[in-house]
Amino acid sequence: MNAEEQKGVEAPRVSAVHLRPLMVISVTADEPVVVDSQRRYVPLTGGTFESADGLRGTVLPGGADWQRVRPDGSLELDAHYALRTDDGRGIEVRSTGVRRADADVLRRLTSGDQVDPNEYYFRTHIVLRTSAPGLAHLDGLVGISTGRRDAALVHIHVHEVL
Amino acid sequence: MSEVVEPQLSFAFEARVDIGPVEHVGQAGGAPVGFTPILGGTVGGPRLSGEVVPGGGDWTVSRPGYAVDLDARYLIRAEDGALIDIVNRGFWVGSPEVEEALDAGEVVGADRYYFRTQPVFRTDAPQHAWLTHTVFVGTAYDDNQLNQIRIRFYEVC
Repeated sequence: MNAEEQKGVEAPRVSAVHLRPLMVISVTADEPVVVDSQRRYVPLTGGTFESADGLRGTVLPGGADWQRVRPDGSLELDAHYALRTDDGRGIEVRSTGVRRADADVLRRLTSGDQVDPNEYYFRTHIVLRTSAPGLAHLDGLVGISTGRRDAALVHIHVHEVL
Repeated sequence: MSEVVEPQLSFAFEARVDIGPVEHVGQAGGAPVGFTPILGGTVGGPRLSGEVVPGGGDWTVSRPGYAVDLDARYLIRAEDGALIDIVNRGFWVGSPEVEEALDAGEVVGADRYYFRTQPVFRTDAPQHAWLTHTVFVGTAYDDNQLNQIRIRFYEVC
């Protein structure tokens, strides 16, 4: 079957895919630490999370979001941090993706203004890893997030890809 | 709850990847590692058409009782000749019975397992640069009748 025949061909045996809200993570961060002209990291200092099924806890300090500034001004994001539930179970989080905005929106974002998240694109792949009891359903799922940056907090809305 | 954009998925294209028999590297770093060679294939859909360049592969790590880690890397040559690199990591999750059925060559519906990926694209071609500005997800079907993996790629809007 060539590419032409494939255009518009439905593949009914591939499952329909949809998104389901999984959790919201609200992260506090320090000012970015500049490494070189392209690279910086943002120390992640803490925060909280709440899952759709009622799991709650905190963001452990010590994680970081490693960012690379592309020539067009957009950001590659690579955040690596950990969550701990209120009852002491740990979850590793890896969040990799893209944040891009027009120059004017970027200026308002970095100066701490409240910016409507519809004005920029902030999406990541999310991978959660844990071997904690009762959390096996979080390990080995494919997630994505949409992000919203406030002055004090970054809110990461994680969705499971079903 | 903070206000945020609700993400949407938009179907971009499908790859039909021809694969060869898996090579079992065996226990490495505490888990069974396998390698599945990519022999070629085709790409089609509303946003991209082309072919899968032979020579890539899928490196898998299978831990009993857990998801199978997938790490596929290959090139797509678009119809306009541009090369696009793809790193397609993800997970395959299914029961041992499903795994056996697939290995035995039975037809297994995609709803009997979870086969989802987080593709990342790299390219130099300006007309395909949008692939690098956007986050995608993949949903895949193991067509063991054709020795082919079909992956539908969706843009996360």
